[in-house]
Amino acid sequence: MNETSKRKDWVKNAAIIFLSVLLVLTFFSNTIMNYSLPEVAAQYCMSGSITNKVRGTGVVESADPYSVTYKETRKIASVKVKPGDEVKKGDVLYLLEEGESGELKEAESALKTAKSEYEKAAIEGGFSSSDTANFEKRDPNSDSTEYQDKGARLKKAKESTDEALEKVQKEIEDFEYYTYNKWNDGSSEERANLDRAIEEAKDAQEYWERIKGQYESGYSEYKELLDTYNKAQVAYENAKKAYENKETEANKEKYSEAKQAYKEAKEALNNSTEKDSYDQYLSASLEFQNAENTEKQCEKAIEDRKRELEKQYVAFKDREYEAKKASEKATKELEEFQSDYSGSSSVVDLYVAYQDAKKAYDEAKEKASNVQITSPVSGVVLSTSKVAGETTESGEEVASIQLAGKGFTLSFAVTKDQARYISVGDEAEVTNSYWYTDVHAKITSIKTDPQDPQAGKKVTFQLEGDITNGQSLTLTAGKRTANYDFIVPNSAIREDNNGKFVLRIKSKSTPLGNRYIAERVDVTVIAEDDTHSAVNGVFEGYDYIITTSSKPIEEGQQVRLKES
Amino acid sequence: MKKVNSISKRHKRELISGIIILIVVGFFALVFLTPIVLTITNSFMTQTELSANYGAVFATSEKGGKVFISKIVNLKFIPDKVSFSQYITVLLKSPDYLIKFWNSVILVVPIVIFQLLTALFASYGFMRAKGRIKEIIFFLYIILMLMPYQVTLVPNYLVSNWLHLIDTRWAIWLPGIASPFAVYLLTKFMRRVPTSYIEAAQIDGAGEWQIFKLICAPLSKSCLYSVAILVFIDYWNMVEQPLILLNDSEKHPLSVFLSQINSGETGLAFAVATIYMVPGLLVFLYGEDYLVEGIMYQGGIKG
Repeated sequence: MNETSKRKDWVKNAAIIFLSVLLVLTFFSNTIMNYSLPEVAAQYCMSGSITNKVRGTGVVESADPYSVTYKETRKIASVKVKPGDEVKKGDVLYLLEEGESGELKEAESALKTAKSEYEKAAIEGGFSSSDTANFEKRDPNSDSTEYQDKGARLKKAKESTDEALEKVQKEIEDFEYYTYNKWNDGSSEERANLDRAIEEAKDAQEYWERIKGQYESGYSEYKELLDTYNKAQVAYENAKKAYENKETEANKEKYSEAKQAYKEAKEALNNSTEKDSYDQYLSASLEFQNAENTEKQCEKAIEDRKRELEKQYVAFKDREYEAKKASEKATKELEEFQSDYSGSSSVVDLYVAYQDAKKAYDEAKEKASNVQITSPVSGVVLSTSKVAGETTESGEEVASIQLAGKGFTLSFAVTKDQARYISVGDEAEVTNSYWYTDVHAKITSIKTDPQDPQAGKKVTFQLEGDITNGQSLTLTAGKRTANYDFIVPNSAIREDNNGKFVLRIKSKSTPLGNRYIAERVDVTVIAEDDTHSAVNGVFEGYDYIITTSSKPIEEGQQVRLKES
Repeated sequence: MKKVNSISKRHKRELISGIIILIVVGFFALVFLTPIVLTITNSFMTQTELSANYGAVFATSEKGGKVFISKIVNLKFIPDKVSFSQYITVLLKSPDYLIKFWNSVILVVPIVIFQLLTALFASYGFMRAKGRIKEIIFFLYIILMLMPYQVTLVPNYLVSNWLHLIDTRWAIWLPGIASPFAVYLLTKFMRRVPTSYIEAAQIDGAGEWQIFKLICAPLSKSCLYSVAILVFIDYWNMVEQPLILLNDSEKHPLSVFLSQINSGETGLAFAVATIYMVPGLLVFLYGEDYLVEGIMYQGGIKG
């Protein structure tokens, strides 16, 4: 019994201790837990306005650099400037080595050649020095000389006669091609029709010749009846006439007989079975006659036309002859004239060439006397493309200068949505502007980005101020304000592989008080400025969004609110 | 001489049978104790060690396939490194488990107390009443007691819903308080109270209440203890009732959490289970004698 009561006491004490410990731990559990929970700051998600801004970073480039070129081939002795140096107009950029330039050497060589040719031509032409002096006085390019007038006149006459000859020859050629030859070889339509008509007529005649015999043999009886009828008709007419003239008994009788005979002959003729074939014979013979006539007419027409064409052809040939004669005459006159002056015209040309070569040489010599390349403009040197010892090429750029007061540009790409918030002419701010004094930026163009034509725009800014080429600047532009339903601080927006999201606080009431759980809400950012962003998401209105936390927090994790 | 030989032979037989019984009982004891020992020792392991040992059983990937380090499941009793991290997490870092522990206490203690009270009065009634109706009602009690909970679950739910008790603790308490098991046990015990005591009290002028309070109840003390222990153990381990009748997981007892372990919380589950065993163990240790006495009385063996 003692042991039993001792054991019971022990169990009772153990139970009391166990329950007490659990009770104390339960009481302090929240406190202990909260110290291990991340502390978060949160604020309500409300509607508001965002000033849409676009930010981007780009490299400063010169707006319109001046390219300094040098037109000779010279060797550089030394470079007097470096990129970034400020130069005025006339300042020395490069020093050149003394010596002849390539251009001078070429000009000298050309001058020697031109001179020797001119002198040679003058000597060969047998011109004296006084003649050459005259030539030298004379300017062949002037329009006032007699030589020029006569030569031009003769040349013009030759040209016109040659033209006339060409024209006649062309007309002959056309006549031959389109009319004469076509007529003669029967390819012209008119000729073809006539030939066809003649053929048809001949065919008709041949046909008649073939069938004539049939007809003639086929109506011999009808022919007799026809003769009888004709005779009876004549007799009747005569008898009638006689009777009408003199109404005697004899005439009357004759008239009656003739009439009767005529009537019978006619009846016999009409009743003849060979009438049809005779009619056919008549029509066929008529056709034959027509065909003969047609043939004759066509042959005549052909002959007439031929004669006419021959006449025309002869006329063309006559004209050609005349034109040829005129052309030959004019050519002869011109050649005679030119042969009279042939020596002097070539000498004058060579003299002119010699003068041009002399002028070019003088110019090259003058250029070669320069020993330096100077800046033609004032500004800041952007780049120098030559070093000491290198040789310039004619027309090659030797330096690039940013003109004073011309400015710089900067470009960067933005999305099409962002481009809607800005427009040409908008002023832009330089981020960290306290580093750059007096820098102004303005949007000069918003164009399709060539690297992303589907979804991108390229924004170009005009910059002025204390900046240099090649600097990297971050600009912010845009002042359009719009209202949005849900605005959150930028610090509230988090991002992972699944996109952007915010964490809102969900409170749960428990026996030991309220507990706060972080709940994820996926969002899309539709606008942002430096401090806030407008978002789209499944919000329930007046959600408490976590902005900052003392430790990294994840969705579903319990948090504690920062004590205010 | 013969007498001495027979005594020694009897001793030997008793010894052998004792050894055999010991072996059999020892074996069964080992089988029953192993999970408990495993739970206690594994509660002192780190989560990493537990995942390595039991990863093949619990670990799953998000796509539903198995993800584990070793295919073989290792039943380890001795930790590689004794760690109290699980207990610190359970007792200090998360009030969830402590709240669930107290939820269990809040659910079970009223059930035990009021079930005993109800059973005490009901059993006295069954003991004192006479007549056919009493027999019928008692018979119904027995029938009800024999039914498993799953059979009465649906009508239980419907009645709770009709009474708007779903998601409240009353949905657990009321059916628990009216449980027939305690009534049956106490009735059986009270029937053993000698009628001569009751008649003597009646002769002395005691009323029913005095008989109940001064005679039956004190005599039923041991049975009450054993019934209390049995009811406590029964309801301390309940899972289905709170799972179905309580929607709010904040009100769930710790037994529900233990039934829903996932692969990331095996360490916590061992620690929680160890803590969870303590009240039951203490209750048993306290009322062991009464429990034995109560069982003896059930068996009709007089002590």
